[in-house]
Amino acid sequence: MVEPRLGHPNLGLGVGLRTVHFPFILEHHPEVDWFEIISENFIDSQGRPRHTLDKIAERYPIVMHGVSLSIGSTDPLNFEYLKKLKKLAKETQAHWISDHLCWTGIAGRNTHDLLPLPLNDATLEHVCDRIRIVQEFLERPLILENPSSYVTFAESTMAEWEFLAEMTKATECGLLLDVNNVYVSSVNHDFDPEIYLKHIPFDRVVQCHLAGHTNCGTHLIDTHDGEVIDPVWQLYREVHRQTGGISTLLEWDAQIPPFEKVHAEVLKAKDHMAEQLPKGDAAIESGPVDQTAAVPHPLHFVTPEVQ
Amino acid sequence: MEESRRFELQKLQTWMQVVISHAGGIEAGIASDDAQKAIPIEMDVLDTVVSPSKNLTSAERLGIYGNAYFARLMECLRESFPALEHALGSELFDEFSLGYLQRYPSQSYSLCHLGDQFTQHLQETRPDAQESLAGHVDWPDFLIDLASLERNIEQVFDGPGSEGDSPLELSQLESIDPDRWPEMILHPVPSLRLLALRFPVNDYYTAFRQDENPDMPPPREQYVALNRRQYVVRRLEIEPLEYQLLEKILKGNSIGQVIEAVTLSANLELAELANLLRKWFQKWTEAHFFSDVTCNAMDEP
Repeated sequence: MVEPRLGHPNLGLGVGLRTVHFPFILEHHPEVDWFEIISENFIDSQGRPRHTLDKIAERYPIVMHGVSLSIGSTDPLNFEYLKKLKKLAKETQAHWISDHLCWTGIAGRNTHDLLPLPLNDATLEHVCDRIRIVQEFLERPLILENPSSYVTFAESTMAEWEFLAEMTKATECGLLLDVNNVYVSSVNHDFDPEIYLKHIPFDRVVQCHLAGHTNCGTHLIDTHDGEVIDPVWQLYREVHRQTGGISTLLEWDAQIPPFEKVHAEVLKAKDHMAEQLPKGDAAIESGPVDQTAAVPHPLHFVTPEVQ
Repeated sequence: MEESRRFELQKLQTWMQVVISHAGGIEAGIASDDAQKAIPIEMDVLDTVVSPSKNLTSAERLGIYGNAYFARLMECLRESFPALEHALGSELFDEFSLGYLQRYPSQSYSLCHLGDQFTQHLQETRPDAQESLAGHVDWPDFLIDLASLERNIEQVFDGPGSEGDSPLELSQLESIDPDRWPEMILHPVPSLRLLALRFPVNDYYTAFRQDENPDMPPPREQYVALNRRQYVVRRLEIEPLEYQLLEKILKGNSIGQVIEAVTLSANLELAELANLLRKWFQKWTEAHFFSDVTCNAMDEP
């Protein structure tokens, strides 16, 4: 019998910590339940970002979310990087460490993209082997997120939900279920997102992500630059029903509005938990835009302060 | 995982990375030698590797990653070098960035290191490399110096600092008998960096930040000390002789060794230099350049 959420608490409704919001958070101490940080922006920081994180971690629960673990790559794991992750998790008392089911580069390179894997038995075994090594090193279960993707491979023999279920069963890792990514991938890969959710082992889901995306007409791109649209909220309602409540976080990474707006967006989840229609009009899919203007997450950069 | 299957995944990943990061686009990437070595495949049978969707062909789907690769990384370089982008104009900056990303693809888990070799790249690809070797200063030096300033600012911003530690006070220096100055060793804070520039790019950077739409200035040597206080990077223009002194102090030389070297090279009277040092000690302590002072002989038991 697996403990729900692998025994982790339901932290409530959180916001992805972004540097543009540092001054507001430090001055106003908004009533946010928790913050998720992008691990790579802090593991080497010896300046303002790390100092601010330490201050925020004194008041709020912190969760670490990475974009460079590259769990699916055939390159060797980077133990220097893992060592830094482990150290930061200890110092900030991070509740858990997550990353993505993806690879980010090979031959020593990093594309800084979350690249998809062919989903078959061989890849599953490869990924599971590496998850076990990482978990042993970090001395905690790894939490992996379903990424948005834009290609599938002829070599794939299983659906993503099947891969995730097998992966978590074999390694006892946790899942970070991003319902926006489920929706984006469902449109891009022509599957029913509700079927996806039906096959998710919800007792393994530790956290849920919400975000906005961009409609390019023929496909969707996970841009994290706007409100969560209604079909994604509908998936969230199902996740809430299935989990009985889950740590939920909103990611907003481009055209980032003031903190209050970002926070208000995640608070809409309360209405959906109560299965009520949200106050005001629910956001719907916007009209298509030119795809060259849309850059998928992740895009994370810290701008220096200088006089 | 069987070695043969791992090899298959490795080949697929090698192939995809080459294809999506090819500056000529997906089709040129697929036809490239590196991609063909990993998976020898032609465009017309691409769907044997990448499946199409209802709305998009296999090539169109791969193209999403191809577009994103350069767009994402070039956006980061624009954020790292905003004044350089202004100086070059967006189109030329993108051209330089594209060349840089091909020559120095990211090897770090963090985007913070993406621009680490950008200055070096500009130096290596300057159009007048021979003239540069002959000591001729021209517009490429302006671009190189500006890139160097912006890179150093970024590194000082998030590098090691001394916040939380007490800086060296002028009173600590004044309490030392001037006769013992030669024995003094000043300990710099870890964020202190010195830049010797061939163009006044520090002034250009200031004008850019104040939205003054600056033009490229004529060449003039400029010396700048970068330091961080309260997590903000401070830029301080310093005099050429001051730069020489600080450079030697940063190398761990005692004030006596520094004075000896500088008076020899600058043909300066000792009394004149002592006066300058008094003035600069005040300036340096106010700017929190140093964390401590020790005197070799004083420290002996």
